[in-house]
Amino acid sequence: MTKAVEAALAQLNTVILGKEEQLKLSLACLLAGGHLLIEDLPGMGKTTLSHALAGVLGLQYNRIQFTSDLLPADILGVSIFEKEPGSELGRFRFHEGPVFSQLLLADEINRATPKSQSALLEAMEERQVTVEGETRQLPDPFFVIATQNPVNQSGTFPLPESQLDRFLMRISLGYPSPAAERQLLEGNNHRDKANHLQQQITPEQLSALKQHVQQIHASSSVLDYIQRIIGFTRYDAGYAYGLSPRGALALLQAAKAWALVNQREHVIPEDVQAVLPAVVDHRLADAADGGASSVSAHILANVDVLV
Amino acid sequence: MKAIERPLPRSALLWLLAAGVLVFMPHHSHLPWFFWGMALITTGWRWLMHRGQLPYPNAKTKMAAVVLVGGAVVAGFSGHYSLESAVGFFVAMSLLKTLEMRTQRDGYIVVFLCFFLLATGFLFEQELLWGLLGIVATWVLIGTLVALQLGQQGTGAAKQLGFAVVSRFATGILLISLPLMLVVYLLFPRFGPLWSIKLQSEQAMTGLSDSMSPGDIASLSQSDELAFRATFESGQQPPRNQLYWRALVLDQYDGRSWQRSGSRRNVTWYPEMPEYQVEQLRRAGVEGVTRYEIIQEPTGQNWLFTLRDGGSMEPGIGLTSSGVLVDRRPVFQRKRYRGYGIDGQYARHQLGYVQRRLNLQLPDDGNPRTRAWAQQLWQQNPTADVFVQALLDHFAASFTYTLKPPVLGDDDIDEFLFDTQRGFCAHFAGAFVYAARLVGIPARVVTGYQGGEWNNAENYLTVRQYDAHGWAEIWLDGVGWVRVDPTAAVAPSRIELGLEQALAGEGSFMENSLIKPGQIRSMPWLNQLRLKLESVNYLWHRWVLSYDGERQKSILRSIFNRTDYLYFIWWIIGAVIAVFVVIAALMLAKGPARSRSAERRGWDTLLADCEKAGIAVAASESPLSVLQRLQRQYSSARPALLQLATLMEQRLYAAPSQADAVSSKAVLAAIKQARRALKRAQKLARK
Repeated sequence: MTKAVEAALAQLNTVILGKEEQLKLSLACLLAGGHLLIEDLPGMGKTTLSHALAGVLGLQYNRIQFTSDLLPADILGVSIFEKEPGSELGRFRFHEGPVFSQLLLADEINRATPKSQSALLEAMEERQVTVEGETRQLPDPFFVIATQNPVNQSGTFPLPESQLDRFLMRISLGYPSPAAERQLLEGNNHRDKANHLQQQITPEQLSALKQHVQQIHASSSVLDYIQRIIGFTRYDAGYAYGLSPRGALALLQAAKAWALVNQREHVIPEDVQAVLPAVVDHRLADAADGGASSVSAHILANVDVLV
Repeated sequence: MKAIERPLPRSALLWLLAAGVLVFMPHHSHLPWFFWGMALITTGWRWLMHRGQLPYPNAKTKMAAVVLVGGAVVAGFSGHYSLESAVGFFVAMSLLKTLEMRTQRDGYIVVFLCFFLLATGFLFEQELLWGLLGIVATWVLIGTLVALQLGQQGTGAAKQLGFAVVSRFATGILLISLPLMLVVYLLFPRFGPLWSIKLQSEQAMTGLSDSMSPGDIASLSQSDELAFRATFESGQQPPRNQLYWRALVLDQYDGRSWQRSGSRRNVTWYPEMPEYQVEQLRRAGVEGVTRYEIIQEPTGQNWLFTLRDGGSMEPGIGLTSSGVLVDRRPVFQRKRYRGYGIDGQYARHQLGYVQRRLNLQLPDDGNPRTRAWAQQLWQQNPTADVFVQALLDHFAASFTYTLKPPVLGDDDIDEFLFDTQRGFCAHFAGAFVYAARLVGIPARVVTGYQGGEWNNAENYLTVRQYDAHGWAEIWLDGVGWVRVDPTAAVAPSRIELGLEQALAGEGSFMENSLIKPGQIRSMPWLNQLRLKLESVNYLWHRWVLSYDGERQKSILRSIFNRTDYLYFIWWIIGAVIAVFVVIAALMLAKGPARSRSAERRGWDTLLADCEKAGIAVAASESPLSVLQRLQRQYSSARPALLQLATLMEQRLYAAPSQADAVSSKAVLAAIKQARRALKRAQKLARK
C-alpha cells in the first residue's frame, strides 16, 4: 500500500518539479481527510498541482473558477422546472452543482464574495448540502482543494479565520529552483501532462490509507509535545488567541498522515515539526503580528521537545 | 490588562449566605431583637435575587435602606455609644453589604467583613460551643473563598462547583493551617489589655452589688449564672462550712442599707501585701492554710474573692484594710488569680481606734424595740461570746429561712425581729450586726458566696449566683475577727447542703426558671451529662480562655526553660525564613520542578558532552535530529549513535507493544556507548 503512495508521489514529481516537500504535504493532507488550501501568486502551479492530485488519486472531480459574481447556486446546484416528455405536466428537478464530486477544485476562492465562499465552506464542514429544505449527502471521499491568491492582491475577499480553520493545511509552492525552472522551460506542456496522469491509488486503497492514518500511534511523549505547542500558542507566545482544540486535532491528524507518507507506524516529533507550518500558520496568521511565516518558526524555536 | 468586574460565582453565593448567618449568631445576645429580622430579610432578599425573582436594589433603595437601618441601630441602642452599639452598627452594615454584592470583588469584601465579625463575636461569647461554631464558621468562610476563586476558572458559562469539591478543599486548607495556629496560639506574646474596654453595661451583669439591703441577695438566688470556678492546691474539697468566699465588707449602716465605708480605699498592693504572714504561720505550724486558684467571670467591679484572712500573691491585686481582695481595674474580662485563706485560729493584731469606731457606727435612732431588747439581752449575757450565742439561739428558736420574706416598713429590723421573723440571709446578717453594734461589739456585714458545687471528675468548685450569701463578722478582743453566720443557726442545711436543699420545703429555689436544677439532678444520666459538660467547659476555661502571659511563661519555662517571648519570636521568624530559604534553594538547585526519568537524565549527560564539545543543542530540537546531526559530524561514532537513535525512537514514540520491548536499561547502555563513541570520535577529529 505504501508502494501506491510512493508511486503517486513519483507521478506528482514529474508534473510539479522540485517541490517534493509540498507534494508530500498535500498528499498527507488528503490522506488525513482534510481539505487543502494552496496559496500563491498566479502562475506558480497551483491549479496544476490540484489537477495532478485529482488525476493521481483517480477521483471524479469538478472545478469551479471563483469569480466575484459567482452565486451559491453555481456551487451547490439549482432546481429547474422541467416538462415531462410527452406530457403537459412538469416538475422541479434538482440539478446538482459542481460541489457534488469527490474532489472539488475551488480555484481562486478568495475572488468570490463571502456569500459564495461560505456556501462552499459549509459543505466542507458538514459534508452535506441543504438546498431548498432538502439535505443531500456529498460523495465519499469528499476533498476540497482550494487555491487562492495572496490577500494583498487586488480583487480579493480574504477568508475569515473561522473559514481558514476548516482547511487542514495551507501550503504555498514558491518559485521553483533554477534547475527545475530550466527543466520546465525545456520540457513540454506540463499542464497537459497533468491532465493525463495515471491513477496510482484506487478508491479502496484510498479509504484503507485513510483508515490507516487513524491507526498510526502517537505516544504520550508526542502528545505532550503537541500539548506544549498548543499551550505555547495560547498562553506564552503573546498571540491574540491560541490554537483551538480543532487546531490541536488537526495538528495530530496531519502529523499522523505525514508519518504514514514517510512510511512510519508511529509519530515522531519531526513529523509534528514538518507539518506545523502548513497546519498552524494560516490559523494563527492574524493572531501574531510578525506575519504568516514567522509563527511556526517562532513556535518551533520556543517549545521544548523533551521535558 | 483592564480590570474586569467578574460576576459573583453562583456556586459561591450559598456559601456566602451560610457564612453570614453563622457569623451573625455569636452576636445575637447583645443586639436588639430586630437584627434577627434584618438578617432574615437581607439573606432572603439576596436569595430571591439569586433565584431571579427580585431585581438588584437600585441606588435609591440602597440609600433608603442605609438610612433606615442606621436610624434603627441608633434607636435600638437608644443613642448610647458603646462597644455593643459600634459592633451593632457594623453588623447592620455588613448585612446590607450582602444585599449589594454582585461581583466577585463584592464577594471577597463580604468574606473579609465576615472574618472580622467572627472575631468581634468573641468579645461577647467565649464558651466552648461558640468556639466550635467559630471553627465551623472559619471553615465555611474558607469554603466561600474557594468557591469564589474556583468559580471563576471555568471559561464562559459559570462552572457549578460541587459541595464536595469545595468542602474538601476548605478542609485541607484548615488542616494545613492548624499547626501554625497552635504554634501562634502558644507562642504569640500575650499582652495585657492596653486599655480596658467597657464591654457590657454594669446593669447587665448579674452579681453582688456594693450595698446590701434586705432582699438584695434573695434576687440573686434566682440566677444560675456562673460567678467563678475555684481549684484548691490540695485537690480536695475543703469542708463546706469553710467555703465563705468574701467579696465585700459592708461596715456602714444608714438605717436602711449596709454599705462600704472609706476604709475600702486603704489598700496594700502586692508585693507589699503581707505574704510573710502566711509563711510565718507555716513555720509556726499553724494548720489550715488553703491555697486556691479562681477563674472569675466578669463582674464589672473591682472586687475579687478571698477566703477568711486571705490574701493573694499576684501583681495588680491588693488587700484592703478590711481584709478583702481588690483588683486595680474593674474586672471586665475573665480573670484568673491565686489566693489563700487561713482557717486556723491565731492571735491577731489589735483593732485600731478608727476601725473600732467604724465597726460600731449606727444611726442615732430607729428600731427602738431592738435597742431595748438588745440592752436587755446584754445585761443577761454580759460577755461578747455569750451574747452572740444568745442571739443565735434566739434566731434558731423561732425564725424561718425563706426566699419570700414579707415586705418590711421603716423600722425594718424591729419588724423583722419581732413581727415577721421570716427572712433571707441578708435579714439575719443585718439584724445580727445591728444588735451586736448596739451593745458595743465591733461587727460588720460581709457579702460574697458560700459553698458551691464540687466537680469530682476535674476536682473544682463551681460557684453560681444563687450561692450568693451574706454573713457577719465580729471582733473578739484577743481573737480577732470571727465569722458568725446567723443563717447557719436558722437553716444549717443552707451551709451544709446549699440553698436548694435549704429551701426544699418552700419550692422557691429558681422558681422562675423553666428547668430547675433539682429536676435535672433527679435524672441520674442527665445529671451525669450535665457534670461532664461542665467539666469540659471548665477545662476550656482553664486551658484556653485563661491562657495568659503568666501561663505562657510557665509553659515556655517548663518546655524550653526560657520565659522571654522575644527570644521565641526571633526564633519563629528565623525558622520561617530558614524554611523558605531551604525551599528556595532546593527549587533553584533543581531547576524547574519536573520529575525526570533516568533515561532523561542520561540523555542530559550526552547533551552536556555535546555542549562541552561546542555543539549547541536547543531544547526545541528533537533528540532524533540531534543524533542525526552528530552522525553527520562524527562519522566514526555513527553505529553507536544510530543504535541509540533507533532505541530512543522505539522507546519514546513507538506503539506500546514495541516500546515496552526496549528497557530503560538498554537505552541507558546505548547512551553510554554513544557517549564513549562520541569522545573517541572527538579525539580523532582533534588529531
